[in-house]
Amino acid sequence: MPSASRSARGPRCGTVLILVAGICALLASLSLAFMITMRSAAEESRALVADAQARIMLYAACNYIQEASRLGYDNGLDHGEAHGWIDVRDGSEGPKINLGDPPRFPRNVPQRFPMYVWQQTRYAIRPTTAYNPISTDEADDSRFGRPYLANPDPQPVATEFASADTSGRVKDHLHGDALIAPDRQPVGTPRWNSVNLSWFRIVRIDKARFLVTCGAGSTQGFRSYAEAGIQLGADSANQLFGDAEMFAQFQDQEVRAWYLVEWSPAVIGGMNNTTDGGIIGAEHFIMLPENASHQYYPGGVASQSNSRNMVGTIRWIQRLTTEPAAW
Amino acid sequence: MRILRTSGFTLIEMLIAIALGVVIITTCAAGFRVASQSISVANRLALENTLMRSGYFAAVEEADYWESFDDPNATPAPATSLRGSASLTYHGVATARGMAFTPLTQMGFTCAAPTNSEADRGWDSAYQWPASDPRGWYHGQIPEFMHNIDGKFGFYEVFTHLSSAPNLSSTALVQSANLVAYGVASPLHTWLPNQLEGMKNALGYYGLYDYFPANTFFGYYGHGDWGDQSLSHEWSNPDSPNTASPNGSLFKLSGFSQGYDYSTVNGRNNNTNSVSFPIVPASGFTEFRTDTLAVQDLVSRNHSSWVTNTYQAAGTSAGVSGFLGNALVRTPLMTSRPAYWPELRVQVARYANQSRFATLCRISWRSPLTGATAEAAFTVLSTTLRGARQQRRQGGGWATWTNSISDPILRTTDATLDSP
Repeated sequence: MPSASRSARGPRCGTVLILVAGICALLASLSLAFMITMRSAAEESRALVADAQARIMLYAACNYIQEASRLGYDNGLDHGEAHGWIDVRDGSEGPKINLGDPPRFPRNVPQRFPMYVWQQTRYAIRPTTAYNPISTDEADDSRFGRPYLANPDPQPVATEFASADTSGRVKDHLHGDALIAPDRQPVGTPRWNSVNLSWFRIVRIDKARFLVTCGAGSTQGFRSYAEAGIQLGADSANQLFGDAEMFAQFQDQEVRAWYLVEWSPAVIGGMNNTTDGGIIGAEHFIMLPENASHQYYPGGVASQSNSRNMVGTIRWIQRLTTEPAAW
Repeated sequence: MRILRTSGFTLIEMLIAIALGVVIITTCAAGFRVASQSISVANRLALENTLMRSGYFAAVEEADYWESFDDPNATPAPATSLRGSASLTYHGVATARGMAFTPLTQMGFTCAAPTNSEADRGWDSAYQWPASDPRGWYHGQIPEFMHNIDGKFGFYEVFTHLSSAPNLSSTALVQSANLVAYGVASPLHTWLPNQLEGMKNALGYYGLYDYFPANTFFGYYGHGDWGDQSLSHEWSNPDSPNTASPNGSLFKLSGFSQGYDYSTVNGRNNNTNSVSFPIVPASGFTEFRTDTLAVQDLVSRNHSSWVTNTYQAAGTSAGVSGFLGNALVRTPLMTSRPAYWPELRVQVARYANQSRFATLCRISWRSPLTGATAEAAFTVLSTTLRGARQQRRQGGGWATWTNSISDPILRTTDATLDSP
């Protein structure tokens, strides 16, 4: 009878269903435990990555302090070179191009540096060994035997740097992916996966001493939502961070560390042959010229390229044990 | 007769069902076992990752705060901590010598009222060494040999000297070179030689390299074999009396070893290119148990160097083995863990070599999955020795700072290890 057959299959089907459901539940619980463990591990790893990124920002900040001591200051149409945070000429406060000018980087004003990677690499360097070989042409009185630094060192692959003007390919090369801008100005396009990861801030608190804040997180170095509103405008801050509450959540997830750093005008290298191993035998009283020709001799390299830091050095670093009030 | 049919299983049905059930259950059990093992492996891998992460955080924490080298909360400081000092004798002259965390006041090397003149003595922590200040320039003759100051380019010890009134009339030197008996001079530049000598004695060799600018010429006139008329002996013609012991080479400040006649003042690169200058901590977590050393021995080892650039010395106590046995300090982690728990070790060493300052971090752990020991080593940019000393109060504890938006200079409100 059909009804009897259906009633007989019913309990068996139910048993199988219970068995399958039980096994699935076991597997699901195992999978859930596995995923929870993995998620927990991933979150802990994220904390480690953020800490490492913040520490990389300390390198970046120190590099910035070193390079900003001399480079990056325009003087009208010229690209002037500054002379250090403490001016090497007279000990006054720099950096500045001309004595008597005010320092280009004021004290007690926080500067923010969100970091990212450019979409297009800015420099592809030609594998040329010596851009400024010392002339061996005795007929050339003006250059013979003289270590002139006439050509930039290094130079890009894109074109013959020395013979090109400042427009066109050379400028494109220097500015990376700036060619997307009609006026060829360096607007830069960050790699999408490199933004909002890390930043640093610098406050100059003395002649050559700086408070560096290293951060890894999404606030781009803004200390508060209000600060973002002031610097970016209310609409932009709203688009970027939502509102103050969301900004506070970003802050809570960030890694931040504060360091005091002192810059020194001292550089390593220069008279390499006399101070760093070149005083051997006949060279005792010889002062080899510093040049870019990679001249090698036993015991050392008398070359400008062996001079490690032409932008000063970092004298000392101190991690602060507590958050400072003004950063 | 009506046969009543009941809905039961035949024997064949039962056998087939049991066989199928066994297959299904076996498969399920195998699957469950594999899943369990996978979970177990994943958990152990996660545990291994956790060990690595914990090691990383412990290492960078140590890199920033130096607590394995000086615990600011250990008050009073233990007798054999790096805050001690002792008298060491070199070439018959006994000098009070300190170590990396010895307060400068304890060594009498502070400058309470700086005048920014050549007459200043002691360390002024507020001074930022501008390149334009002639006090910081080396006024000697750079390539001058220690024992061949023959005056080719003049009497440079007239211009700069450790002493304010050096006697430049050495008979022996005058007879062997082209010099004349100058008499007692009044050198204009005495500040830099006294800064160098004072810091070397106050903090040891690593501290000396840490505190002075990168382009410093390490040496000066005075304290030489021929008295006032030769370059300083410890700086320019170092001895190596203890090369066979774990103490390294005591008083070997310079790694330059071209021979007697080639002893000159040197830059940091030349001094550190063949030997390493570590900070030897007073710790029970070093291989050589440096916490058991007498203070004088500990001070000696902080005025020593180890050969770290030759294969010949690698396995000797004067080379890398001795260097690591003294310098590599383990941060104690999970000290009360059960014996069957996986092991995690974090070790840090601080040393100057090849003109650079290294904070070597080594993390080693035993894999909870395989039992194999793995190690990761890295260096990190972090608090320097001077920064670590400024973190600490003289009397113990962490130093505090002014902390105001209106006054962001972060002036210390406590006397640090560098304060007068």
